Amino acid sequence: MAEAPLMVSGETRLRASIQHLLLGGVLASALLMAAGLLVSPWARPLGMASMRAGILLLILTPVLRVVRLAAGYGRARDWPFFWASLGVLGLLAAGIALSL
Amino acid sequence: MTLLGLAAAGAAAGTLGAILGIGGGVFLVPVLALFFQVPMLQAVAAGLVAVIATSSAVASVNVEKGLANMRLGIVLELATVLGALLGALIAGWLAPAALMGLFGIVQAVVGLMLWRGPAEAKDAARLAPGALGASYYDPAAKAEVSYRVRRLWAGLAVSLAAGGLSGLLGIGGGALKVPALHLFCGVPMKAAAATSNFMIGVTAAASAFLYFGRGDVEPVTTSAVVLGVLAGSAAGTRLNRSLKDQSVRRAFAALMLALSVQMLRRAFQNHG
Repeated sequence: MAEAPLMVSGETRLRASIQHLLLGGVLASALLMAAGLLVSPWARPLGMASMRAGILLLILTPVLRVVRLAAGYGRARDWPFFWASLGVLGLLAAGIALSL
Repeated sequence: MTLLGLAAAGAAAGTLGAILGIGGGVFLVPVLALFFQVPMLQAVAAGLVAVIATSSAVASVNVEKGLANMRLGIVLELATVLGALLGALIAGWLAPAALMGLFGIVQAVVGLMLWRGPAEAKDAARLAPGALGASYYDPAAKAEVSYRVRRLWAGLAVSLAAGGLSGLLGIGGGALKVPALHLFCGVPMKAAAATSNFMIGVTAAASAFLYFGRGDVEPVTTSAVVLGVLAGSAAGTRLNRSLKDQSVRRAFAALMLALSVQMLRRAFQNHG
């Protein structure tokens, strides 16, 4: 029972980090997409490139979230959840490989 | 005007997604295809990207509040992502009408189960959470809710099916996972919705890479929809915190039944 507070604080830190990552990814991609929409009537190639970059960043955000979870569980030596995160990353890598 | 319309459609889907714990793809894809004449593959791709936006925006709030159960989420994601990849591969040789019909039937059954509610009275019991369970503060009930995850195998099986549907139809699959986590696994409705939303981003990303690689992600349509979705989900998350579990469940059930009727109608139209 003495370990409980440590576990809770580690989990809380991981949660805060995941929250920042998700929020940062969404905000950055929204900015890129909004800028692209605003710019495209005048500079279409630049606008389209900005929107594409925003969309790609948005798709990558959940992948980065799994990377962060794997690192967090690995550091906490929480092996079942570390391996589960790694398994999800392996499957995502298979999906990316299939798309190429 | 079309851009504003697309953003408004996205906003409606984002609000519903945040309240009900689903990505909103089930509303968005038909609206884009039927009302905005977006080609089906592009509509599905925009739906998937919108689903990722809703999931990430809502999850960032729910993770902080402890509503989204990350441990349960990462275990079930093994099934949803595998399902999404299998679904995308199977999609090639299954008739779309058959898929829609199947989806409509499954949705109707789950909707009816959800309307009736769980056999046990209230899920605000304080159970020792174990490795996969969790606890969070529920402002509507003004109490700490603690739960233990039961029947993980059922959660994994339904997650595999939900991931499969995501890969097949370009939706998040939360419509299946939320009631299953609630009814089979004993996860309180709000935690089930938050955890499902948390998983949906990764599930949709798995298939979104395929669409992006094929060039089906149209930047202007997708950007307008996604910006609308983000505004909608911000509003929906605030509403979610002031709703009681039962009202969320009943609204979800009614919506599922209405959607299942639409799906079955479209399946027969496409078949005939």
